[in-house]
Amino acid sequence: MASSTDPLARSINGLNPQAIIEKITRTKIYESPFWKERCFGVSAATLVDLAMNLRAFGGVYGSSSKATDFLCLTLKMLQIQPDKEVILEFIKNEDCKYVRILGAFYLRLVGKSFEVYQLLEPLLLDYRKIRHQTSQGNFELMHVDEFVSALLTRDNFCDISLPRLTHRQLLETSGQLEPRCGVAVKLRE
Amino acid sequence: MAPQQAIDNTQRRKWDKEEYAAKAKERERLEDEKEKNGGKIRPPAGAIVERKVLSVDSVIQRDYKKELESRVGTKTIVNLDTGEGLGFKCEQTGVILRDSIAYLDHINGKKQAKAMGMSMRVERSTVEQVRARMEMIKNKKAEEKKNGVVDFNKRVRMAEEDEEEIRARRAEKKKAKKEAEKKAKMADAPDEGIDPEMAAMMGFGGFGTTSQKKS
Repeated sequence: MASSTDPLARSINGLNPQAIIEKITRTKIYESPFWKERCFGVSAATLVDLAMNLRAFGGVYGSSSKATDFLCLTLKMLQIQPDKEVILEFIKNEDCKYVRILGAFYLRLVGKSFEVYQLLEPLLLDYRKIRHQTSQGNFELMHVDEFVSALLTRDNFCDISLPRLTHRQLLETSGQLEPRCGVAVKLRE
Repeated sequence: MAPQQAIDNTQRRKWDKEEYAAKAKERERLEDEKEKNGGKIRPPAGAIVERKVLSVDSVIQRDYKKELESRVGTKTIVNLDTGEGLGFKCEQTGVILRDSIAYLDHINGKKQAKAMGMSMRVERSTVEQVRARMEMIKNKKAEEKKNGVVDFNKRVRMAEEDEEEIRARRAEKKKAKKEAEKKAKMADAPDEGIDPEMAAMMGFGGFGTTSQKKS
């Protein structure tokens, strides 16, 4: 079925990866025309086409809570579970900001806490503009660093409740992470 | 000692084996006939059917907007017996669906995949493939951007030509209308009073009516 997870996909927290998105939101995604028309038979390589044509990000919008294309692609990634290198490729790419934030969002959903800190904190230096489609359906201006900051600090974003993130200090004391060094400190050195 | 005869003392419904065997035979005969007449050939029993990998390239690329919205505002005759003309008909499986959402669901469904000989599993792509794809799209976009400027000038020129053509056609139409009017006037008015020279001076010289006048 078009809504089934790849049989080779690893379960996340003992659950089907798709279960990260709540049932109601998932149903809205399955109902969306973008999902039905464009997201069938998509692999990680063909997902790039769709991601590069993204024009905004957001959760569900409008009175009938329609799912944005961004959300559709997130679910598709949970379904096909691309390799970690592919995600890194998404995040590291400089040209397309929406591919980058899609990769970052996916990593926040499935990655381990120290990975999330390690890979997403460098993106706080990306100040490019992105469009956010609000729940009313209109657009507002945001920046990539704001998006990443929301991923690192909020527990609900784009109508998906983000998995718990271990506190940074805990990871530092256990030696998994180096203390964070801001731009100002780096410039002084 | 003779073996004891088994006695059926249950109330359970029994299968009439002979009847169903006859039915199966009949079905097989019909299928054989169909096959002989150039129908679809059945794979032998127990054969492993290899299916194509599902990917965007192997899925039929459809222009959904065109396909689904082209019939808005049109009328069709519905055959209530066969359902012909009712909603959307899938070409591959012959299934008739009532609305566009059901149609899209069917297109992405198991039945359709089976009819197309496809598996429902998507191939996994490697990092290299993803990288290559990204590079390809980037180049394509850059090229489009580069060609876009040229295209713009070209488009402007084309639009100008179009406009000129429209203007010329309009002028021609106007002229033809005027001519027709004048012709009608000529037919009504008596010819004798007009001097051919005078007519030429007034701009009537070139009309097709001159030959009639002379005769």
